[in-house]
Amino acid sequence: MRRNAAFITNAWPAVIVSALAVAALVGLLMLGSGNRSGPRAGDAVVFYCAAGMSEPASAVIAQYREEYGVDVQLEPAGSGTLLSRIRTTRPGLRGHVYLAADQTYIDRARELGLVAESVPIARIRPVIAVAPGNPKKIASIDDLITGDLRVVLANPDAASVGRVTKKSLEAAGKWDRLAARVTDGAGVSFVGTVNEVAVAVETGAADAGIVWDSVAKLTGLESVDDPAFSKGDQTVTAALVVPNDAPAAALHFIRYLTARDRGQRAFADRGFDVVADADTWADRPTLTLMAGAMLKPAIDAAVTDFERREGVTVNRVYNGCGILVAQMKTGTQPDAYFSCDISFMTDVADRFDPAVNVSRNPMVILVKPGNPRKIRSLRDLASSENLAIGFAHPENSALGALTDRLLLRANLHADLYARNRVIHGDSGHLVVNQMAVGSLDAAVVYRSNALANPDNAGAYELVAIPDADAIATQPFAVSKNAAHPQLTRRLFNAITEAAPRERFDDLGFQWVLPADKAVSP
Amino acid sequence: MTDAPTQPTRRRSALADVVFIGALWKLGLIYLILIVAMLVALETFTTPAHILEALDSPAIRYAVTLSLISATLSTLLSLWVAVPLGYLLSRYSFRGRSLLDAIVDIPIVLPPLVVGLGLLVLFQTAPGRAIEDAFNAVTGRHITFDIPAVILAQFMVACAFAVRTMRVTFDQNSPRTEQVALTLGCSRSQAFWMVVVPESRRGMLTAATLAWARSLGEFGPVLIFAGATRMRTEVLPTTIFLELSIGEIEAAVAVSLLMISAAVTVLVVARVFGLKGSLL
Repeated sequence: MRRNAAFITNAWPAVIVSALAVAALVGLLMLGSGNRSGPRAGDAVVFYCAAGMSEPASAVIAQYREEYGVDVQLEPAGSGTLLSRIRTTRPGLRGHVYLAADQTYIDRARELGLVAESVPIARIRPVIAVAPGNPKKIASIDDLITGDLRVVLANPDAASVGRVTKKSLEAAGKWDRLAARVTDGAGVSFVGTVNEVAVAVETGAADAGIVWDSVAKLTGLESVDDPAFSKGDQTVTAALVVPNDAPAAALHFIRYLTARDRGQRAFADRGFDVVADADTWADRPTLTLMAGAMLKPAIDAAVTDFERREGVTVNRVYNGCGILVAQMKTGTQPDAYFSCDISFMTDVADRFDPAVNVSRNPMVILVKPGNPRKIRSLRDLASSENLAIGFAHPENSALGALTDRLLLRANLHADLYARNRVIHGDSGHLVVNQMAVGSLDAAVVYRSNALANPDNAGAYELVAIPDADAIATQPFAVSKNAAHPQLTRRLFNAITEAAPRERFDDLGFQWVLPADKAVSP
Repeated sequence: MTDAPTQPTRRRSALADVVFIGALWKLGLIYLILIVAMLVALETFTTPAHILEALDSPAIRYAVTLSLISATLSTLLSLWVAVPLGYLLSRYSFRGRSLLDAIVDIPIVLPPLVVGLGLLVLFQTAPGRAIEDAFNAVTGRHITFDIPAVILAQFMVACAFAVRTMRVTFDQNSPRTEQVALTLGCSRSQAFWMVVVPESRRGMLTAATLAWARSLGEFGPVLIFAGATRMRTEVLPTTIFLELSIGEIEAAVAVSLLMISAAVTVLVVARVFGLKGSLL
């Protein structure tokens, strides 16, 4: 005991000095990395919500206020009405979040440049709503057309359910006859929103109406399916209205609204058929992105912008793809993986959703100016003698692995290595540098490596390799068990948007991603 | 070598001394010139514009700050481990001491990438995850791919060097003074804090400098275990490595020169103050 006490007394100064130093240093670190950007009370979010979804939406808003103290102002109306409101209201006075009953409105808004990020919540489809017990024995649309029933429909121009009803019935060849009853004044009328349709049926003002299945469930009406609506499934989708100066607050609410354990649950509880791959809620989610080091200059700035915009954290791990694969095999599962080549995807493909090819990088042979050894192909390389030839490392880099595979497939590997001096560089750029300072006679690198530094223009010549396999393809994949699959997809979109795409071009990559291509739709 | 000098004349001795010292200088200078020449050669690969551009970037400034702070933190941690461990290894002989000694060397001989991979695997295991979760519950931060990973990765390697240095320091300090203190009525811990620690101040300074320099230059394990997230876990050496791996020699060299000047400043200041005795 006494000894312990003595130890402490004597150790005191050192302990205090160390503790103070640690505290000061940790404090400094905190100062440097304070990056919470969630919403604060006082940020008001204005939420344009399709009328049929306003019931679950109010529940989500209440829960959100309780959890974060942020007021969300709900403005329900028909999806089409809301879109018009966005179009006609000045930016700044518009709502921040737009939830449409079907994705068509979101797509149209996007074409008009009015919304950016969008997230699906649930699937809905139109049904015929009738009073409980179906007193008029309504069995199909035909009964609405031929019978002497009072029918209420949502206006096709204002409400999503009206639009889908019209489209489905047109396809079935029944719309004109039903619409004719409206103009005849024969018991069919249009109202503005799906909720008004439901109220009309509920109060007995109408015998039948066409509403979303979820609305029928919610109001206790009985639904009758009609084959005409079998293809009428729609995706309830929330989107960010743009322009928006501080999108993080609105996106925070959109993430909350669509999270499987927050907003989406309110929809599920009310009988909505919710989409399967929703994100798990996190105030400030963290994604991990693994990417080949060569891709860093093309994507890093875009990833940083994405973090700021969404108010999320993206951990980035850049390295040779061989090393990244080794890391994954230790059990570190990134949310997304942007590989240098397909060959470094196959080994870990079972962990990811199907990958999407984003860009390509063709390989070339570099030779000395004037090509003194007359090298026109890999075969020429293999048949020459005593050349110093630079390749990238066959195991650590995609380029090296591809080079090796090309040589093996053409049966040139043994000859080339036996007759010449092969030098392995860590990456294509290192090999190019060795070529530029004159220590190599020839090298195999990516075209982007060779063109990266304009100062090297006179130091070597490029010889194309006319082989379909002499090209690396960079695939992007989202983890199968990502906690935030929607957010990860938005990260992909952020990386492949127009501006980042230009970076790829500048760096010598060829773009192969077709327009409007999303990861595993 | 084996002959002791046998009464040489003064003149012969003076001449021999000059030759001898001259030879020492020549051998030493080769290395010094090599270092300086290397720096000059590096300099030709960059321009003041590149250095200014690097300094102007918030990401680089953040990397500089993070590098300096994390290296200092891992040095402090290393000293708190290295002094006791070095002392135990030096003063006490016990069964398994050579094994312990060898274990301490493992982080030095392991390729840096493997150290990072090892840490990553460790924090994927159940106990590792438990630690990570507990840490997250208390601080709201993660270990893996976050700043603690940077410090831990640096500490793993730096500490091994510090332990080595402290062990040698204690080996060289005679245990006599300590024994005298004990016979004068000091407890073991009093003797340790009042005699052993002051005696080994130079050793500690060396250990700290070595650990700090090592931490500052560490990037293999950091890249694997902490990632390279701009403005979060990107330290200077990761910046340099990544710039080089995409062929940006000029930028890499500019950042390297920044790192060298920061390191030299800190090391010189530490030595001056440390030898005056006002440090520790």
